[in-house]
Amino acid sequence: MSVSSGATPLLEVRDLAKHYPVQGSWWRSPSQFIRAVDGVSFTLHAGETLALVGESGCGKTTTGRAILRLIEPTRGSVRFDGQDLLALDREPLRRLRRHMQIVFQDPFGSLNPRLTIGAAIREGLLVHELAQGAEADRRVAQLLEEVGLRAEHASRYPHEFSGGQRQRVGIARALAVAPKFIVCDEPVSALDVSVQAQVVNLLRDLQRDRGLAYLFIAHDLAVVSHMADRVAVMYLGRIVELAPRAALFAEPRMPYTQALLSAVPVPKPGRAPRRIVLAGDPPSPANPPSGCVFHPRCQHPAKDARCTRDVPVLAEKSPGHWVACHHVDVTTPLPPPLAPA
Amino acid sequence: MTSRTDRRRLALPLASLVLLSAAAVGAPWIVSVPPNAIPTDGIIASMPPSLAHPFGTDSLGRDVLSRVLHGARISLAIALLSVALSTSLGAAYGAFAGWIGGRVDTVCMRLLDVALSVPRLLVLLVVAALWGALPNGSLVLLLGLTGWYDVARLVRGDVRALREREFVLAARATGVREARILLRHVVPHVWPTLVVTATLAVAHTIALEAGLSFLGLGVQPPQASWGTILADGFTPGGARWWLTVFPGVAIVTVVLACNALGDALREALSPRQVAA
Amino acid sequence: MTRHLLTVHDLRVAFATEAGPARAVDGVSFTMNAGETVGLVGESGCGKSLTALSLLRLVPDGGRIAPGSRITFEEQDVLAMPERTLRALRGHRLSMIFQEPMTALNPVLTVGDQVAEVVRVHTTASAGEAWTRAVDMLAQVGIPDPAARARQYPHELSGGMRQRVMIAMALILEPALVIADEPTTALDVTIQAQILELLRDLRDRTGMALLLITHDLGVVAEMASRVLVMYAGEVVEEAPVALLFDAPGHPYTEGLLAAVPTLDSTRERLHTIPGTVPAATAWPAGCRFRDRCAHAWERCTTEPPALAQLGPAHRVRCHLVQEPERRRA
Repeated sequence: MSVSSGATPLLEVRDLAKHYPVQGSWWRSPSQFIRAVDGVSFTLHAGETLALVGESGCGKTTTGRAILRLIEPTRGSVRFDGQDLLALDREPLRRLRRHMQIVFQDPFGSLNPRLTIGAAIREGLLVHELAQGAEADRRVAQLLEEVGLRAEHASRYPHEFSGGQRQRVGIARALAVAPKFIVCDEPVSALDVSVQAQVVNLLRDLQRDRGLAYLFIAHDLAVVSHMADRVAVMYLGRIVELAPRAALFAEPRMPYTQALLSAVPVPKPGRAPRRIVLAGDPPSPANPPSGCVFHPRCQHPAKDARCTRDVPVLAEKSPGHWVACHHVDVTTPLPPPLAPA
Repeated sequence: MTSRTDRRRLALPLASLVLLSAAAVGAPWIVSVPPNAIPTDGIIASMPPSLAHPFGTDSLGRDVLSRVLHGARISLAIALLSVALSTSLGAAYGAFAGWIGGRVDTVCMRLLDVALSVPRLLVLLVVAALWGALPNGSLVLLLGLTGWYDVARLVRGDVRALREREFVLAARATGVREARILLRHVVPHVWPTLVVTATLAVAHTIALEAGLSFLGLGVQPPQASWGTILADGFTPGGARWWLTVFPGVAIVTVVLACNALGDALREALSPRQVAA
Repeated sequence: MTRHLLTVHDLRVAFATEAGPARAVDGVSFTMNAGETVGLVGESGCGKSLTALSLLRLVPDGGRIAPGSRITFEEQDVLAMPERTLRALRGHRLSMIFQEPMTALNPVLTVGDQVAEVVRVHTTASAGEAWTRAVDMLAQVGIPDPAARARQYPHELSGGMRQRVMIAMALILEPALVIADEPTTALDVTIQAQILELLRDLRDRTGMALLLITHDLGVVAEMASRVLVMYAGEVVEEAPVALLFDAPGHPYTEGLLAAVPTLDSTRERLHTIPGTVPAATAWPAGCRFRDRCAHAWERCTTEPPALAQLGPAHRVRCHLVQEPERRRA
């Protein structure tokens, strides 16, 4: 059993962690670690979108990069398409990258300013020997049109494009190798509302046409509600709630998720939400609280000594709805999150 | 890539350097008198500038114009070759340390700190003094081997920063091999740093070589280099301003032009991040 | 007619660029009353932040406020006043909260010193009095243990705490008007909720007027009583907040509202506005939105629309006001 829904998943992440050393130096071992990601487990199926949401520093970006091994995880396992990614040597991993891609948040920093966008898109085709010469040109033109740009844009440099157009280039680059899975790391956060809507729709169209699976990392819950099939909420390096989209937005169970949702400003005047305003700031991942990481800011009426003592397990409280909280009624027995699939 | 202002700023220093280099290369055709020819037919030693000898003559009666132009060949050649050596060494060392990172990088940088703590001039003086008369090839080697520390540091810094850039990450995520990432996504961004530091290093090396030669530790007489001509001006026999002024002007011109060119290049080579 | 706290008339700000003058703010006029909260919304490059900076005559290098522009604040001509009078105004009667408190605060001074400095500059208070007032103000903006926090440096505080410090600096002398330029954009949503609540609370307590510049329509809906929508350097719509969200008059406003994703969505496609904002060096002739507008007709390409009255307190820069039958379903 795993944190998922049916069938063999395309991606299965178990107990993934990334700890960064602090205060270490080259001659002595570090004494303290920042637990950027601290035991994250989930699955993702072909053609599905799982959103990973949370506030800055919750570890969502690190999770996305550790899955792709752009950052080496400290522990855990990542199975992609039946292969254990963390056990792969450099060359087989490089070849496998064809099937898993990433789109970055910053449309300015993620394109090499000295390469034309055509060259940037071609690179994947060349290194994976998918197309060469005129055939590669044709594919680049096709990709540009697929993401809503024009074929003749291929010879231009990134600085000639707007943020939204650059983000389309980033998407075309990821698509070039025809992947099955894309990590979308805040792909619309840097964009204006009207452009954001264009890119959100584009990502959804591409998913429909190509059967892509997305790990959609975001902090904007409203965008997530338009993209995701399922949503995982992260806090301080852990998933604290994971549920189908509708269930999560209609009936958040974890107190943090409730506060997060209530904090989103609603673009409807006079309909001020019943807001749970959390006190203070999230604690530092270098020194996380004992027990439930959310307990210092939690306003749940039943908060008790157990919350400060025991780490709550992410457990399935109703079908498909996983919550890490001591005070949400247990309807199914707690499965260990590391149980074999 | 370059705008109008950039081009204007590049023009003057570039023009003076091209002119000087052309004069150096074409020296045998520009002046008919060989630089080391000592006239046997009468006393024309230590003559101030005249029509026959526009830059005057030195204490042995050699034509100073010819010596300055031929000296330029030696001075420029020594500077260019040693800078080529130091820049390549520094770039390789810096790129290696920066790209590998971690402990390798730390050790490399500590070693560099040790090397940097020894003053370059001191090393040059000691080695040159111990060696006695250095052949020009060894001089190039000596200047090159002691001149790469700064380049290494700058390149290492650039590479470390580039390693973290998202487009490098994007290339890795695409499945591009490390060697290709380094060549296509990192090296082109280091070029401006290399070009600029090399240009500035040429200026510095010209001055350094002149200094060494002036002290008798660099280029050896009777060969002409700007430093040795300057030294000739200080041999006993009274002040001969033309022996100081002409090579001096040449040195100052090259140094200033290189520095100005370096600054202009720094501006011109930075990629445009936003549309104008 | 009541005297306005602030009147902006035909404000124009241009930058010299290699591609010619960029008319970033191009004829903006509006008024604000005492105690009122006005939202100034628009996407990047629409000129909203520049409009705000102009109110304090803080236009960045290369920019120039064109002659003919007029800004009147508390019956003083802001653009004509000498530098000294202006300095006395800034931070005292008219103050500003910036988006990025990390860059707006001085890293080498303690936050207490920076708040106290505002008092020292504008009043005759002694150093001791100023410090006491600063600590008191830090308490009012919800900083726990303010006496200790006042001795800390900006980098020792979290983003939310730094923004509270900025607000303390802006509000300590109880200005008549506070301009907040994207005050919560750099913050996480739970921290944003804290800051919005704080701003609302302080506004109700002090009776200050608030000009809230933001791209977030949710924030506007929650905070403002009146809204100005900017597009391509111009105000294209002005309306009371409820009316703007219920019955937007300008096609741009309409498109913008429809493009905003909301939490209660049913995962339908988002409405989009086709195309992109034109460059400030080459605003199109006629209506600047026409290339992206579904209703545009010949008149829109030739005649620039004026800000026309659509209803009481509702003004729209669109020819549809005169020819509503042209609106397509």
